Amino acid sequence: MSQRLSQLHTGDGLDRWAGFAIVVLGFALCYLITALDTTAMPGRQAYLPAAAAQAASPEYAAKVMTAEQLLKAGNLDKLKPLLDEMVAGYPYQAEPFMLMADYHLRRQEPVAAMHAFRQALDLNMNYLEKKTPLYQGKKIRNTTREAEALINVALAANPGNAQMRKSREELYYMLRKLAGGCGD
Amino acid sequence: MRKSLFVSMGAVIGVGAVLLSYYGNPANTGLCISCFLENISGALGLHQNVRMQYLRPEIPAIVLGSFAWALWQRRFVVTGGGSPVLRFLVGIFMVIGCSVFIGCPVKMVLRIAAGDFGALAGLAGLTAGIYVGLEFIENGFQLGKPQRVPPASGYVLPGVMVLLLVFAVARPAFIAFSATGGGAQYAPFLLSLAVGLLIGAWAQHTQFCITGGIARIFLWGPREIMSCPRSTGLLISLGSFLLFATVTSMLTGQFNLALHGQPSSNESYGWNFLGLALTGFGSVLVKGCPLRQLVIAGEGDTDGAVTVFGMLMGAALVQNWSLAGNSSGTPPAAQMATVAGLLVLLVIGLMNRRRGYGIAPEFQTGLD
Repeated sequence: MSQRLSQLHTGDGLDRWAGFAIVVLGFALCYLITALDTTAMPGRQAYLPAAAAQAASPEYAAKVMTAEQLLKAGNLDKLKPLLDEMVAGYPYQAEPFMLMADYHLRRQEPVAAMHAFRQALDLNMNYLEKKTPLYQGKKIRNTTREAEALINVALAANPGNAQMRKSREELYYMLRKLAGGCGD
Repeated sequence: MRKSLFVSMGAVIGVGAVLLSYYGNPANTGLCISCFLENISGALGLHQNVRMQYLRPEIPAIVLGSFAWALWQRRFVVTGGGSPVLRFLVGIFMVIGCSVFIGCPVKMVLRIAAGDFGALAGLAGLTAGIYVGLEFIENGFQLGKPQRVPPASGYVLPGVMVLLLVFAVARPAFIAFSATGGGAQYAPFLLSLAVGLLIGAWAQHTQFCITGGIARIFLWGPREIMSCPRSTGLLISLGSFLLFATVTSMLTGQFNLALHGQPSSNESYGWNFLGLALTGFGSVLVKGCPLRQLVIAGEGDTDGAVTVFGMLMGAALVQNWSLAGNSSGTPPAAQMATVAGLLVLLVIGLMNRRRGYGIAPEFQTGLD
């Protein structure tokens, strides 16, 4: 060990280069540890008890049923405040976001619908799983394609449109989600 | 060795992996050592991500294919003693690097072959990592020359792999299988087994290695080409792999030339670069990419087996500590692990150098 350390002391070019890289990486690691908020990544497991409690609540079930009836009846004016309330009150449930997406689809707003689908998928990926009864992949895919066309037209007309540029980032995220792969 | 053998190696893995994806494995993930090890570690209960649990038969099949071929060709030689603890540690970091990129070097080639431009960042990173690793190899890095060890050690990993295959068939209650997610997407068992066995056997025969193939670009020179036919052979296999995978992707409708919206990808190109740089660097230090580690473990290299166990542990850590890249990018913990991994490998490189010496004997055997 002492021989190794003395060799390091009288090191060659590779030693000096690697030593410099180690110092840089050490600073980078310290920066990442202090700058990144690792507490903001508890994972879905941490939300599951709260989400399960909300889903089991009869009040929640009644609100979902009301929202579905309003959607079927096309009563969009009454539906929107109810959905806003549900989204705020049940942040761990994907269903209100799916209903919100349906609301935006009824209003011919595919970009907003795509945004709602994204929030729903972040909470529950089973909406893209063919093996589950929740599967709504075709609807999500078609909405994303419609949103893509709208975003491209809007950005072609005004490349500096900040809102559409942000929507385009979300569009790419949705395309990756729809493409699948391992891990997601 | 005839060049056609190296071409056939590329054809076996290129066609086989893309077909596995076509018949059920996740998109662009016909064969991915790191993803599949994450699935296996989940199935064994080493992590609790319910979307990543499946006993992928491809991994045991690769080891057993190599094992059977080595036995048949009388190349099964049990060796060990080349710094197993360091190899275990490097194995962990190799898989962490792969997971940041969302795929091992094999999957990197498959992603490029499927038209994913973004995977080129990984190729650049892998190449940079290999270059850095070769700097250490060419300047006296050593892990200790492997010695013959009692034969029983060589049968441990193949034995474990046989057990995993038994579990995959019998599906006992203590083995977890995903109902949704990537772990629930798989090709028919017998097809996965057959392709894995074929890849393992042929990779053992041709000594196929992704990082080894790329490393030859840096070691290449007129003298080496004259005296070292395998140098060109590994590159031929790599080129053949890319070509056959691309053609098969096109024929099976899995080719989509685009930068955005690709399966198993994100837009954290910088972290993708660093992730595979970590894998490339580690692979050079332990004499082979993750696929190669499986193959040499099958032919009796117990150091390779230790690296495989390290990779399996790394796969569990990746899922437990959120160290994998995903569609939205690279999580903070993955960024820290990547930087820490590069730092640790540099320290290992420095501490294991014999200054004033060239390529250590244990690495020269891999260059013949």
